Amino acid sequence: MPRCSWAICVRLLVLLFVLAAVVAVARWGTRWSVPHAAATDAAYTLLFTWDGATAPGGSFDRPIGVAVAPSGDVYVTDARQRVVHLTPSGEVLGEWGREGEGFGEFSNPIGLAIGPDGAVYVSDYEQDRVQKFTAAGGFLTAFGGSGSGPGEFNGPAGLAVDEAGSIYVTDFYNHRVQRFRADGSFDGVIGQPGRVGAGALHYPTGVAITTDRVVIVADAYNYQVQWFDPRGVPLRRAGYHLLWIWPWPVTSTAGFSVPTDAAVGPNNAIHVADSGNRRVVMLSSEGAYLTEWRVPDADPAVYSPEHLAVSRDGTMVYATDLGRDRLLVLRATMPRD
Amino acid sequence: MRIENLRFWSPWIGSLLVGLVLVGALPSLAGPSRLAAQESGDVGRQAVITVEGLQCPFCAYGIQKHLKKLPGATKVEIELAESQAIVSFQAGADVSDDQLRGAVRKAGFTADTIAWRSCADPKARPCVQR
Repeated sequence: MPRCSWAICVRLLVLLFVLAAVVAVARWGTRWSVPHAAATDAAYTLLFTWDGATAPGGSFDRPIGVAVAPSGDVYVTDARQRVVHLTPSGEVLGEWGREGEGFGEFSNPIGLAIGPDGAVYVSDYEQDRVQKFTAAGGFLTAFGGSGSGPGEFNGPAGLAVDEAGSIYVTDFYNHRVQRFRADGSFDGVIGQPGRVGAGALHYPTGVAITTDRVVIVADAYNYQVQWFDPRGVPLRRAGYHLLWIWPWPVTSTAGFSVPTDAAVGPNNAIHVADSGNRRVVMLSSEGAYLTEWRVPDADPAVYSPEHLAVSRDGTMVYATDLGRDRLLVLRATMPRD
Repeated sequence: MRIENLRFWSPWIGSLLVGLVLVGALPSLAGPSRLAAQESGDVGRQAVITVEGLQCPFCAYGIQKHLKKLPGATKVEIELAESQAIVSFQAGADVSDDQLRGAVRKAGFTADTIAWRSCADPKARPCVQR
């Protein structure tokens, strides 16, 4: 039997070491890829596409923000610097807003959320502030300002309001989520800037709150969704795939490509706007993949959908399709227990 | 100063003077777009910036946000289909390619090509916000 020469032995050892490292990285990385639930009958069905054609200021122009009120009314923000108010069946009730920096004026209204009292919150990406309105568009208050300090923003994008009235704002260029009290005063930060590690956020764009105040963040450019407890402690994440050390978008059902929003229904089913893959993905409350729906005729030049909202009963999901100037209305069929 | 000293220093002084002239001329050599802008300065000018991989609206609006902060910027338009940001500047605004690239970089992207045109160019978009 030939003896192993010194050089060959060293090469074999290096090869074994590399193989062991690859296996270790793969096993660790897959811990937070999206697990699959057992086969279910969960599904999405496209019911309508709304173009807002009867709005006084004209049809939707690059709609990006959407929210559903407790009454079922739907609100949409678009590039016409306005908020459009629609009935649950899509009839336009009115609109408010115009270009400007005064109260009730916008430079780029992106995020929308509705408080438990029906108040409408709008984030302005350019003006780095959040404005609060009555359900009919009457100005109530504003908070924020440009910067990276507590209570300041650099690109406020997605919004959410919990049952207690706290407001959560994804702060795109500051790579964090900020929480505010109902009166607009600063209440804390969730997440920190970073590419690796639980709680690290990289250009977050959307946020949702479950009934038990768990915060779900669409961590767009870490290609994952992260869960935090009400104090901001990281709980779980889904979507980060095999190569955790060099995150890359994933097109399979085991990951996401630029997930830009999450919305939560009453049963805590989670809907994710997997915009780089032009699809909506339904996850269980534990973050397991249930089903998906692909945007038909999506603009290949624009990621879609951008933001999502879910009706109070959880049966309807609204998705903005900026590239096609429309709002997609889906029926969500929940899995049977 | 003695003659011997002058003989020693004169080549160095000459080189220094030539260097100063060259350094003074560098900005104009490195900034043809700046010159072009000054020529069309009466009506303002427009920069068409191509940015690779511009598919995400949040990123596109981020580029818009950063470009709007440049001195003299009157309007910024984003064309996602063409991966372009079109920035208009008022007459006399003195903005360089480097400043444009810096603004795009702050937004998390890299500017690919930058083309300048006068606001009077028939191909130009309206240079002021309507």
